[in-house]
Amino acid sequence: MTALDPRWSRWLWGRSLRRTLIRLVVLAILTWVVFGRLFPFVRIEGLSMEPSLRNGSIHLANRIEYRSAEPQRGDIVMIRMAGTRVMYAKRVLGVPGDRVAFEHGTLVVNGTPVSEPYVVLDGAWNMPAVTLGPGEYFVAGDNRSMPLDAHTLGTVRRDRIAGGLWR
Amino acid sequence: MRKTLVAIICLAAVAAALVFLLVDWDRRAIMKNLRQLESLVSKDTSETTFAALTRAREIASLFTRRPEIRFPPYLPSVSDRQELSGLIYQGRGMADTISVRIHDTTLEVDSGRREAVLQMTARGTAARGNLEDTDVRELELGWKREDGKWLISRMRAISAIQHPGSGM
Repeated sequence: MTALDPRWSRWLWGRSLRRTLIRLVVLAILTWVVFGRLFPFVRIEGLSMEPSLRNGSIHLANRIEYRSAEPQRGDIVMIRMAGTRVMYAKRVLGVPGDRVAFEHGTLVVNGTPVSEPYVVLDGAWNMPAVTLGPGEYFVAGDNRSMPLDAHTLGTVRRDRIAGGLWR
Repeated sequence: MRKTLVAIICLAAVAAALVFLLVDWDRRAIMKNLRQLESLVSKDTSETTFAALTRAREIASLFTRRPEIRFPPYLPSVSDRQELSGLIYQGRGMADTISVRIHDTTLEVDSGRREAVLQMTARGTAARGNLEDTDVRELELGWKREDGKWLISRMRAISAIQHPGSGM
């Protein structure tokens, strides 16, 4: 076995192999914490959030966004299912205490029509008013061109909201 | 030499005993049946009638004799293994290929080791010709010991997002 050229050796693992290994371990742990737990990559599947979130696009979720703050109207949130490997991405349209309805495609919150600049694919949804209880949020996708019955929308409990999304 | 051999045998026996004591065999059996279900429901190519019937029976054999199936919600609830086998045969026959993946499983086995509840997210993709449809559901599966095996006694969908008018 021939010894590695010192220049290559230094380029590969620096002056001290031990120190390089420690740095690698620290980097691996940091990567796992940051991208595995706090800000995991998510791939969007489906058309319900078009055009804000394109089918197949990749984003970073923000799992710490709602640890100290509550979701607000207009936020895009990640909603966990049995766990956090597969989640819904939806927009918050109503917060606890709100009355949310759709009238001929217009979102009406607490009796007032709300302008939604993020809705490009609009439709003519009609939905009777839903009153949100404590800890309940109303969520829907931005793509309103699909029939209301075929769209996953409705009330979600606060504990189901696993974080936000960076776009 | 003989002492070393005896020591190795003793160590192996202790290791085997530890494995036997520490491994949750009920959990392992349930997870194995779940992976089997995932694999049996999936199909890569069109099947012959005989193969499809056999597969439907194999899938149904993972359920108790009188299961309580409330999924998919648009189908009538099923409470008979034979009936379930027929529905599986029909359902799988409607697609050329089916792919099912299970994620985020949480299993709780009761203290009596007779029943268990498993929550999971299932992602299914079915294709027929050029059409492809994907559905993601959160499911709750009840498991019971029947004839010495862990079998699915109930299945229902859970909705994280309650559609208006769904009775929340």
